[in-house]
Amino acid sequence: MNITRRKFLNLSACTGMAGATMPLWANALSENAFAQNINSSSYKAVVLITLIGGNDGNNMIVPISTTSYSQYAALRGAIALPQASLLPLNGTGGSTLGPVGFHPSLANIAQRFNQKQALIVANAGPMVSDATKEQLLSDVSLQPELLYSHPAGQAQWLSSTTAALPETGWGGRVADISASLSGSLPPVLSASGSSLFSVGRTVQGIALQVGGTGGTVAVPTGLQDAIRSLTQQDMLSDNLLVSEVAHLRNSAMAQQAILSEASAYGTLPTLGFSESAFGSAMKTIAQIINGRSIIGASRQLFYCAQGNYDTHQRQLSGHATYLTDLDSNLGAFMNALDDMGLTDEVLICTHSDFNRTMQSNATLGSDHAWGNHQLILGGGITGGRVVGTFPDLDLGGSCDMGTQGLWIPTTSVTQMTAGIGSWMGLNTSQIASVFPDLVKFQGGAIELV
Amino acid sequence: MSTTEYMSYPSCLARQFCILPALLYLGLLFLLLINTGCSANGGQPASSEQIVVSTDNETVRTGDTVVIRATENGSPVNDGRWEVLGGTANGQIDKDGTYHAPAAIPQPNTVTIAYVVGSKSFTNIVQILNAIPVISSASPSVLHGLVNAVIISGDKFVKGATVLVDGQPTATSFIDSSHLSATVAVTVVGGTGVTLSVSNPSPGTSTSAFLELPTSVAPISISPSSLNGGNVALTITGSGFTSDMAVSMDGQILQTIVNSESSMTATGFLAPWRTGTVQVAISSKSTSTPLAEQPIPIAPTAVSFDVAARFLTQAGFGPRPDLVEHIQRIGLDAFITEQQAIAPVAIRSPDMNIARIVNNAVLGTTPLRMRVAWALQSFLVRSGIFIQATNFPFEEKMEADSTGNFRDIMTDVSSDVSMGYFLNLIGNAASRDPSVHPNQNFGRELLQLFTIGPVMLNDDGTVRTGSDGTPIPAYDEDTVLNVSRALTGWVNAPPVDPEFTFYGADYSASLVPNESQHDHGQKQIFDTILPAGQTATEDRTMTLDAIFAHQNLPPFVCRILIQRLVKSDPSPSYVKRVVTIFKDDGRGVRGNMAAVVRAILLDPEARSGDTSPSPSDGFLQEPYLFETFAMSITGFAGADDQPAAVPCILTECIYYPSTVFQFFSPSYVIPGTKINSPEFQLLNDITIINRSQLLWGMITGQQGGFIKPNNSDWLYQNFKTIPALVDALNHLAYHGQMSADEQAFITNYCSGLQTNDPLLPSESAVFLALNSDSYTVSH
Repeated sequence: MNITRRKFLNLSACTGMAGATMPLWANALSENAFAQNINSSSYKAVVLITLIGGNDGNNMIVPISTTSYSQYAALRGAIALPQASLLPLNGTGGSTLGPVGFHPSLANIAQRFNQKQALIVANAGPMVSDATKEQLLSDVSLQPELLYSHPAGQAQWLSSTTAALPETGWGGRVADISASLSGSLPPVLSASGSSLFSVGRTVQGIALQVGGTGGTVAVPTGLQDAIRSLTQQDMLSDNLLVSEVAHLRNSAMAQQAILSEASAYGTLPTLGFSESAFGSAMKTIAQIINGRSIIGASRQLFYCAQGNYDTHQRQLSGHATYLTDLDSNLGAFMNALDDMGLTDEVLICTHSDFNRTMQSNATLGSDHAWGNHQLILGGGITGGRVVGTFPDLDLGGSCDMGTQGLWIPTTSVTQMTAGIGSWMGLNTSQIASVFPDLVKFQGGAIELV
Repeated sequence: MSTTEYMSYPSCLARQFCILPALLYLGLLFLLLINTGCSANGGQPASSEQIVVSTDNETVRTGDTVVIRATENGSPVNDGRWEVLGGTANGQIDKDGTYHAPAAIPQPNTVTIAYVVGSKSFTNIVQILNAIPVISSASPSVLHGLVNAVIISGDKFVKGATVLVDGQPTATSFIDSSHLSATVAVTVVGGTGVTLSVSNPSPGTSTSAFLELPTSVAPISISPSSLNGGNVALTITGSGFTSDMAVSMDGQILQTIVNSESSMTATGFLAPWRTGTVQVAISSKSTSTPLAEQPIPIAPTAVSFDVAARFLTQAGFGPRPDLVEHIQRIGLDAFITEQQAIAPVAIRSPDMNIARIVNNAVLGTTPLRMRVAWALQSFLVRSGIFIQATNFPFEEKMEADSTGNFRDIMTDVSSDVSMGYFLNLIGNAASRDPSVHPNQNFGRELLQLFTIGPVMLNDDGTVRTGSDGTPIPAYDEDTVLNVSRALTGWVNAPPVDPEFTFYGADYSASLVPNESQHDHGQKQIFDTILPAGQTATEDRTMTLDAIFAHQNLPPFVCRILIQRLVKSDPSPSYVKRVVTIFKDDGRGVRGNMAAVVRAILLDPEARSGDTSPSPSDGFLQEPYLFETFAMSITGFAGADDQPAAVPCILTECIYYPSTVFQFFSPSYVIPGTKINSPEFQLLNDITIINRSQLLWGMITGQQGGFIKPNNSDWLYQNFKTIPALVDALNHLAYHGQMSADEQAFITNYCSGLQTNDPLLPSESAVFLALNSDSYTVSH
């Protein structure tokens, strides 16, 4: 797992970088690079769930009072949810749209919200700085790069930047600081394959095996030893890609044993996870958290993706299906945390590429938009409230980038993620290094507790 | 000191040259006599009679004679009698002391001869040796064959005699003391004769004089006069061929059939990467002697085997041995021409599942066409519904379009039913309700993913940046809206082909316009104004023309195609060379796919790795290519759905991408590096382990759905030892670039395996070679 200093320097030379990054996670070096440890008295973990494709936040959180609801329904037309189906959320009466309710599929999350274990971050999105609609329309450089593009939007949430092709994720950057507390595995663990979220400046994450291996057979031990020997040679290859693959294989073979042991540790009751890919992923994360003593970690970040929320057409049925999947498995996950006594130690939050047009399109769906609403659960936060301000639902108005309800965010992604960073235990200067654009937002980081 | 020694020694005295040691001996004897008081008779009291039995020669050959003498004080005695101890088998002795050796060697071959006087016996020992053979004639008297059975006549042959041919022993049978039979091989075809002699064995081995035996063997001719790699069939004509003959090639025995005394056929296998000449030899099986040798040149090829093998990682689905040999013979340029002229091979019922496409790619006749079609589908992304046949029409269009024009690709993409469903084009209607706008899905992704990409590009594929260093968007939201409006009004055609009609939609038919759903207003797309009142077809044509003319189209498309076929991180100048061809194929045509593909594959940067590897060469095999390349190398075909399911385990569910955003992004950079490697997006600590497990399962037959059709065991059939197999893998899978360390490691590991499973060593060798990181990156 640790690469030698010489190889590190060789790679820096190849890639032309000044030695600030390494291709693979290496605990020892990060300890040297970031001497200041964060407060590590107990276990804390963040679970980030990306809703792939652009979740329609307009239908996830809906104004429930008559006047606001009517305005909502008029705008959304055929894709509006029936008022009676909405799940009331206590304590939201003071929001800029008045009291709001959840999409009918979110029963478990609504319950947690009303138990003050969940909150809503309203109208958040990647922002360059606080800017008005006029400023944004007259100066493209004030807009995030490639606005309304799926990959750019996803990447901007995951990186907490406004770049179209960012190099690191905020999870990775937090992990750069917390790496010494992650035990014998990398700090960021993904249940959904490779993700920008887990890429830091010095550390990176690994993927977790979710579900079975599709009936593949294990390679005999003797051959595995032979593979290891050949890999050592290939790590020294002149070919850049060969060397990278070999380094990855070398780490992967070392990490496999620990991962297997951690995920099999103890008996976690299944607690209602569904058979979907997302259900399996959340269950896997729960099992790894349960096995954290094997890993020896006191700070971990997890990544998971759920989709597909790109509801350009026939939105109502598809959206409901995915939200049900999200809700049932988040409910199961929170129950598992309760069982492990970690309800206040694990924080869950959602991201998504972007919100969707308030106005529907001709195929009973909606198209790409911007400012969205996200959920934060667990972690001992002060729940049962709305953080930030909802848009005023005025098509073409000062909150709308266009004419179809492309809400201009009022809280930036960085304000939200920096708040999570603080929750993890980062101090002020660490926050500044992980979230450098926080200073551009007058409101500062959101407060979770 | 024994009596015998004493008695025999004085014989030495008779020869002048023994004087000095004899004197010494006598001197010692004198000392002994005065010192010990023992008599030289070994303890017998001194007698007045000291008889010495001596002989001129202590060895005598069978049938020969030697004179034995009895003397006392140097004078002959004659009052005794001679006796040969042991009977007549040991010979006879005359009264005058002439000893006649027996005709056959006695056992042991020492004979004691005694001279008996009264009660005393004085002895000497002679050693019987084999006679010196005499060779007088041979039959036949002239040798015509390469291997001849010859009867040697002469005299004094003993059992165990050996006939020597030009001084070399040959198989000999003893007939009697005058006759031997021997196999005489003629090793110099066209020479004049052989020299025979006979050698009798020990004791006393000796050789006869020489007998010259003339030979007259017809010259041998071997055809063909030059060889191609692969299966080899030699026809040899000459004379004197017998079933004792075997033909070999560079020491490897070929399957030899002796058709007649003058014709033989020999078949075998010549590793197709061999160059230079082979030594064809005819040997005698019984004597193991080579009889005739002739070097046969290996026919030069258009390109080397290694170059052809590497080419198939770019222009096909991996180095299938027969395809490699074909390209080796005709060359890269001719292969491209030939492939682009073969029409796509349609797959029809009863079995239209994805696995059939996979098998067609690996085993079929159009690898280049299908590889380009797959490259196109890496960014022209759509998915069928769960009925696998719904994927076939788009696959067929892409295969045909791989030698067509990109403008037609754009039309096909915009009119395909599975694409239409995937991106909500079908039924996307103009909006009469101002509060409802057309669906933007297809319009946006047409621009962002299929044609020009999201940011402005230079002709060399690099991103253009504004004065502040940030990229410049290639289109804005207005353009997306206008494209969406322009492409409204397309619906399913009435079904025509029941094989492809599911839930009322004919997936093989193109979409047809429905004017009542079309937005007839004016639109602007880039610099093109689409006037109001045009039909859906007119609007689509102008829209696609406007996008086709965009300066981004060539670099966007060309860089992706280079990444898919040759190299993940091409140099900007490579991209620019290909872009130049895309813009104008030399005959003023923009978007000529056949020309673009040829330019990509034959560019110096694509070919430099044939001989001079560079650190940035190549691409990581995506799961689908990892699987198909392995199938091509090992000869596996797919059964059931497995070949389609295997890449899905590695998170590339071929023909069923979960989103329009491809399996991996063209701009993906390996985290922590600046290395652009799209396929790395699918490689993580889990999938890399699973890759090995799938490969092991496939090779050992434990992964369901992979079978070996007949005659597909090219590797195992033709390379039966581990070193030969590793060498074959070096050429076939590594195009000659497997490091010496890796070759040695795999050879030693597999040769040293202690196992009852006879297949394990060879399977392990193939596995280790195809699992290695230096293989899984094609470079």
